Amino acid sequence: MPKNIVFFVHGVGQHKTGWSTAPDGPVSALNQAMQLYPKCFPAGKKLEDYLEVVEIRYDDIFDTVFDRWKELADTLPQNSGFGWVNAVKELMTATGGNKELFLRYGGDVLLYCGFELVARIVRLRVNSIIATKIYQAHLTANANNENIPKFGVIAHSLGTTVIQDALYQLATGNWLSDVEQNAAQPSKIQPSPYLTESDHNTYQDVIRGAKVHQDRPLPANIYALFLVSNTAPLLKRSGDYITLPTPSGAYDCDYVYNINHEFDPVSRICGGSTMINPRGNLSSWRSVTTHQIHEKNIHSFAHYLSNPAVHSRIFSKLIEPVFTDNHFNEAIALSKAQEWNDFGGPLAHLEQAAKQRLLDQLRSIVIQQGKPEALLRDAIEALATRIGD
Amino acid sequence: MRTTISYLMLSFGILSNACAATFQDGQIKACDIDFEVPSTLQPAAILNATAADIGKGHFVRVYEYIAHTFEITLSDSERKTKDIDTLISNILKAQALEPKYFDVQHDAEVGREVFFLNNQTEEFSYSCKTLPSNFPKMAAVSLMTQWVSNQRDSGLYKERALNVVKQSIAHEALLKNGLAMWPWELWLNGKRLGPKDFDPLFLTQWIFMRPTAGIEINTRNRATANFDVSVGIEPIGFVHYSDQTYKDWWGASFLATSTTQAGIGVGGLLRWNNYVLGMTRHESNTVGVRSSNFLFIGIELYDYANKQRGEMTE
Repeated sequence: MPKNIVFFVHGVGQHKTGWSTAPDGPVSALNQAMQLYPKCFPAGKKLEDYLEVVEIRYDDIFDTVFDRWKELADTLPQNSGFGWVNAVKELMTATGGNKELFLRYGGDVLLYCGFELVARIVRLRVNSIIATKIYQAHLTANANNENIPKFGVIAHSLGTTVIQDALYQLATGNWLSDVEQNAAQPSKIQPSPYLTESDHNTYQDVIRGAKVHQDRPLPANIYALFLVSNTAPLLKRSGDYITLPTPSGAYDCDYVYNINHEFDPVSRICGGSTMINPRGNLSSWRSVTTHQIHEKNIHSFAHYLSNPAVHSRIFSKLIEPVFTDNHFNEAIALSKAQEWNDFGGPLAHLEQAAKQRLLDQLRSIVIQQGKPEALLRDAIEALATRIGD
Repeated sequence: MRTTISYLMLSFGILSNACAATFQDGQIKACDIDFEVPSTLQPAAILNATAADIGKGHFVRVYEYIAHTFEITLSDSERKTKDIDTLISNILKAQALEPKYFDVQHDAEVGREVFFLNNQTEEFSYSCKTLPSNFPKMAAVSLMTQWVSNQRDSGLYKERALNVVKQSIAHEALLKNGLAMWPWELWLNGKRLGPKDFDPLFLTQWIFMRPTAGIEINTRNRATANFDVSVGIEPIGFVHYSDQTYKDWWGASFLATSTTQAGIGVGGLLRWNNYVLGMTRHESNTVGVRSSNFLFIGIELYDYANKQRGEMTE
């Protein structure tokens, strides 16, 4: 039986290669969560024993944009003769020099939402990884006479917007439109990190297979989409993926989980936490609201995934033959314990006054007035620096 | 030939599914229970009967066979139930449906097996506590239909992946290799994109209010040449790339300068990759200073020329 495949999509801030498996990353959080269910997951078992983990990273694109702007600024002389050019140079130098700080405080949100070319490059990066992985899974399944595995996505914060925009484009784009042209003129694309040389060599197989295909887009075919601190209602750049139908009327994505924390200012400002089921009465949409405060940055990816109400849905959907209904019910019962609805973990023994101060700070971010874009930037900065001090 | 072998291997019972309802060793496994499936609905029987049609891409005939074989295992009253009627109807039109229509999912939140999860207008599900007697047969034909549909679509995923990757590589190449864009140029050129990410990326990039560093030389009087690095502004212009690697380009822009002592200069420039060469006209308002034409040499070209001159001197 093939392992199901899960894609992790990061949010704001800097994410180096390997971010998902870093100690504060989502894979580590889920590995730790697995230890809560020893009857299901024997000691020593890791998430990768049950799922194929695919890390999606796109923040290097933002780095490149900043680096190129800095290059431009560096080519200009100090006294240009045009006053505003000097100002631009100073700005470029400042943002270039403080790139990490800028991205950490939500600069990547500005780049994604403010520059359509940047947003498209990000979406294409995400889709190139997903489309290639889906293709490779079909290839492997056919070679081993197995059924196709399920594909799940766990996205966080800005990543919830990026993934919905990207999947919308993947599912609605006519990516097969040039089949005939390619048949006449084989593709000249260079081998990429995502496709092997043998993939290119067997290109004609695709052309033969495509002849039986009807003229319609190919669905993205995501089984379960977990939107952790959903930002899409405010930030999305494309159409609405979560209600997107396939050409024959099915939902492109089988299950959507809208997961938000009671106090998370990011999803509250962006409208994710107040979303009403856009799929009507169907059970394929689930909203999960978490309440625990185990670290000051309640917005963090790992903090969300540690909650049994969240990881039980992930395990149940993607490791389902192993994580049975009994384990799921056990996790849901655990999620109702006080520890997961109040202060806990490292903050369990925080003094009452400090707890109240933290709560007040979290609440104050959300009730401020102003443009959502400005509030969001301030909230991200506050979560990264001021909260709890 | 390879295809036929794979189907025969399947028929020995290694078909499996990663969802709750699985087809293993000729049995349907759901809700932690193994259910027997009639021999005519076993993967081996269906595949042996339809291998030739699958191999030729005659999928409609395969779907008809599955639906017909399922129907003859049913009594008249069973056939008339809404769930089974919907399932058979969907199998018959499976050529127009996605494979996911035939998934049999398990929903732990409600402890039920769910058919046709994605149909927006209806889904039907069965509690694990009260699975109907026909459930194993329904799950068997549904999963087999899904498997056949996946065979039908499999090749297309490669085509899609190739095109997405090709498009992604082109866009990243523009960002990394192309003429760097100032923030307002990045914004402006982004506005030219089509609504779909598969729309081709432009090969002509607009230039707008672009600061450009260079050297200005008075062509009439070299003694007054300004060899300090100065900045010109390209109010509007373009560069055209030779291909989607975005490594080579040529272009032209209007040019305005103000850094010589001869007042504002207006003219144009030509660009070939990073090399810029332009001409400006400075109309003098100062008594005794004549209007002049200035040669504008981009900083990269100036550096290149100096390097070449140095090498020749050596």
